Amino acid sequence: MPRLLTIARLVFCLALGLAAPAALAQDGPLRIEITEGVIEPMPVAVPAFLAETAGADVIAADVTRVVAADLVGTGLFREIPREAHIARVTSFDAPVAWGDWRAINTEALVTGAVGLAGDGRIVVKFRLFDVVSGQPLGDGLQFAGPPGQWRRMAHKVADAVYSRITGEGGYFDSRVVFVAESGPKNERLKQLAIMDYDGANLGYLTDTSTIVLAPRFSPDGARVLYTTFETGFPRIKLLDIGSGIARPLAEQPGTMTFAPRFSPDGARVVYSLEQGGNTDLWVMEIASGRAARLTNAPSIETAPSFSPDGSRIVFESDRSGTQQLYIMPTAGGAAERISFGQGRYGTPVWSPRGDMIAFTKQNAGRFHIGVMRTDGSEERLLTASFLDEGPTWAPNGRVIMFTRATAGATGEPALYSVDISGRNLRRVPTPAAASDPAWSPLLP
Amino acid sequence: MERGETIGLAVSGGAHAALILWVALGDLLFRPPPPRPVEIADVAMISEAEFRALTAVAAAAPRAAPEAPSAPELPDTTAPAPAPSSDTRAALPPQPALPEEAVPDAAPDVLALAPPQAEVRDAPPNPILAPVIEPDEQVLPEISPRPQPRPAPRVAPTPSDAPAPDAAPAPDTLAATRPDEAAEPAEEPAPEREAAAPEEAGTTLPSEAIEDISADEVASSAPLTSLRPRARPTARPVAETAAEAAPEIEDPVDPVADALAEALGETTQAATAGAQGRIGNRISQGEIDDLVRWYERNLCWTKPDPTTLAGRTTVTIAVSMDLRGKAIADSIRLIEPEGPMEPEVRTAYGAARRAILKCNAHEFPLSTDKYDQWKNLEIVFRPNR
Repeated sequence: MPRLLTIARLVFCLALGLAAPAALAQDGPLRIEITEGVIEPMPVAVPAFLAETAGADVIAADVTRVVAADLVGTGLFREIPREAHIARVTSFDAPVAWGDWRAINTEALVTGAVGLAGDGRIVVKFRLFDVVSGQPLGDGLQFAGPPGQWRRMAHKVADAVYSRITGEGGYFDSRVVFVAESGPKNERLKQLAIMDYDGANLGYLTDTSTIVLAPRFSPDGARVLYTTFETGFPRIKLLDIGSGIARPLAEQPGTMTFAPRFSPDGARVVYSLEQGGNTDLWVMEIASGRAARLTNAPSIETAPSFSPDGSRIVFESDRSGTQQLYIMPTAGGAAERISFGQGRYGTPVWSPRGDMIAFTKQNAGRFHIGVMRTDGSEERLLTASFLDEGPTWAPNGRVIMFTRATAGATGEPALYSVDISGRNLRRVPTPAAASDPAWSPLLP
Repeated sequence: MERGETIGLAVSGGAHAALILWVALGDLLFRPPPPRPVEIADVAMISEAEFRALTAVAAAAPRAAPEAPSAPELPDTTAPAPAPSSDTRAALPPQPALPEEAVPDAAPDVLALAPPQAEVRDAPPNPILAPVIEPDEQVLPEISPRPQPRPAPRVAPTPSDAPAPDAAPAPDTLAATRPDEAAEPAEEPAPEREAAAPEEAGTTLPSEAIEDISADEVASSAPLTSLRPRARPTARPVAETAAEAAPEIEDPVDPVADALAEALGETTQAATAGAQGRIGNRISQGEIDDLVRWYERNLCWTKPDPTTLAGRTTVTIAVSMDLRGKAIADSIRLIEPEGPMEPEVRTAYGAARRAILKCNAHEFPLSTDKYDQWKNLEIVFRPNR
C-alpha cells in the first residue's frame, strides 16, 4: 500500500511537471519556431534598362531581355509582366516607389541603365532592391566592355542578382561545348561546337571531316580535350579555343585513348587507355607528356573524373560484373565502390562543389540522370526517358546539362538541363541535333 | 482496515487521475473564452436574503489590486536614421486598423493591402507608428476601477414566491381549455429578462455562493474536489472546503488518509494557482501556437530552395512589435547563427526578414492585453524540419 501511494505521488508529480501551467514565465522575448513556409518562384520586376546615351536603346532592350530570361530560366524567379508595372523608372538614380512595387507583389526589383562610353565601350549598370524590406540588396555594379560583349555583361548582371538573392554562385556567364550532329543516322556527321550556356553565340571548333566525341573544358575554359577518330582509332587531342589549333596528346603505339578529363589545376589529363584488349585508367602531365598507370585490372575502367580538390577520381568499371561507380585516390590504389542500386551506372562527373556526383543510370530499359553523395548515399534520379546520358555540371553545381535522345528512326539527340532538385527541366536551344555537352567554368 | 485502505486507494487513484487530466487538459478546458456578443443568461431564482448574503460576502472579500500595465515600449524614433542611399525611401502605406471586435472562432480575414501611395519623398519617411511619448505619459486608457457589486437587474427586484411544483394534471382535467376559461394563474409571471447585461455586471459567480454555505452542505452535494477554476482573488475557500470535506470520509488517525488529505490540499492549491494563471494575463501555450500557425498559415515565409545551402540554414531573428502587432522593420536583426554572415546565412536571413514584414499585412493574432509579453519576439526559421 505505501508503495502504491508513493508510485501514485510520483506519477502525479511527473504529470504536474510535464503539464505545467501553460502560463510559463515570460521574462525574456517570446520565442517561437517556424518550420512551414512556401517554396515558390520569387516575383521579380525587371523594368526596361534605360538608355543613357543615344544609340544605346537597342542594347538596353537586349540586355533587359537577357537578364530577365536568365533569372526566369532558373525556375527560382517569376518575372512580373511589364504591363503590370505601376511605377515607371525614368532615371537610374530616381527614388524607388516602394508602394507601387509592393502593390503588384514585387519582392525583388532590378533597375539598370546602358550607355556608350567615349572610347567605344558600353557601360551596363544595375541596382537590386528588396521591395519587401524597402532597401537595396547590395551595392550597384557596372560593367564596361566592347559592344559585342553586351551579352556577357547581361549575364554578369543576372549572375550578381541571382547570387545576392539565392546565396549561390551564378552560372549565366559560361559556355558549353558539345557535339553538333547532322546528316542521316547511318552517316552521321559530327563536329565540335561551342555556344553560350543559353544557346546564343554558336560557333564551331572543328569541321565534319572526322568523328569527334566527349569534349571537355579546361579549368580556365580556354582549352578543350576531345576524342577524335581521324586516324580510324580513338585519339585524344587538345584544342586551344582562342587559336583553334589542336594537337594530339602523347600516345603509345598500339593503344587507343579516349574519355579524357582535365585535373583541377589543368596540368594533367586522366583518361582511358586500351591496350591488348584491356582498358585501364592513366594520367598524363600535359607539358611533359609523361604518363602513369592508375589501374591494372582485367575489367574495363573508363569515364574518370577528378574531385574538385584533385585528391580522388571517380570512374566507371565493370569489375563487379556490371557497370558500377568507383572512387580511388588520384595516385591510384584501392578503389571503393559507391553505386549499389538496381541497374548499371556510368559516366560519373564530380560536382564543382565536391559534394555530389552526377551519373547515368540504366535500369529496366530506361535511362536516367541521377546524383548521389560521394559516398554513394542519397541517390536521386532527376530524369527518366528513352535515352538520357552524359551529365555535365553548371559552374555553381546546381544545374546539370545532359543529352536526351528520342526513340525511333527520326529520333534526334538534344541538350537538356535540369536543376539538381529535379525541377525545371528545359531544353537547351541548338540549331540542330546535339549531344555530349561539357559546361565551362564561370568566365572571368 | 483493508476495506478502508481499498477505499482510500480507490479515492486516491481517482483523485490523482482527475487532477492529472485537469492539469493536462486544463489549457484546453479553461482557455480564456473569447469575447462574445452579449447574450441572455438564465438565472436561478434566489431569495433576497440569499442575495444579500452574497453581496455581503463579496464586499468583504479582499481583492488584489490590479496590476498596473506597463507602458509599451515604442520604437526609438530619436535614433539617427540610417545613412540614406542614393535612392530615398517612400512612405509606407498605412496599415489597416485593428478590428474593434475580434471573432476568434472565425478564420482570420486576410486584410488586403491598403492602396499604395505613389507619393515619393526625399526626406526619410515618417514612421506610421504611435507618437513618441514622454516616459511619464500614458497613452493607454486607464484601467477602470474594479466595480463594486450591486444588485443586478437580472435578479428579481422583489422576492417572489417559489414557483409551485409542476403538478401532473388530473385525468379529468386533460381536456383542453381555452385561455379565457383557464383558472387564474397560480403565480405572477416571472419578470421579463433583460436582453443585455448591465453595464457594470457583478463580478460574483454563482459558484462563489457556496462559500458561505455550510461545509456539510458542500460535502453532501458538491463533488469532493471541484473541477471548476476558482475565481479571483483567492483559492482559500476551495482548499478549505476540500479540507473541511475531507474529514467527512477519512479517518483522522489513519496515516494514509492524512497523506491523502495532504496531497489533495496541495494539488488543489497548485491547480488553482495554475488555473488562475491561465485565466489571468499570462500568454498561454495555445496563444503561442496560434502565433506560429498565423505565420505559417499566411504563407509569409518563402523558403529558400531546399537544395541550396540557404534552404538548409536555420536562422533566428529578433524583432520588436508595435502595439498593433506590426513588426518594426528597423528592429529586425539576426541573432543566430553568430559570427560572420556567410552567403547562405545572408540569404536565409533575407527570406526570414521578408517573411516577418510580409505578415504585417495580416491581423496579428495576439491580444493587446498581453502586449508586454509579445512585444519582443525571437523567431526561429527552421526550413528543413
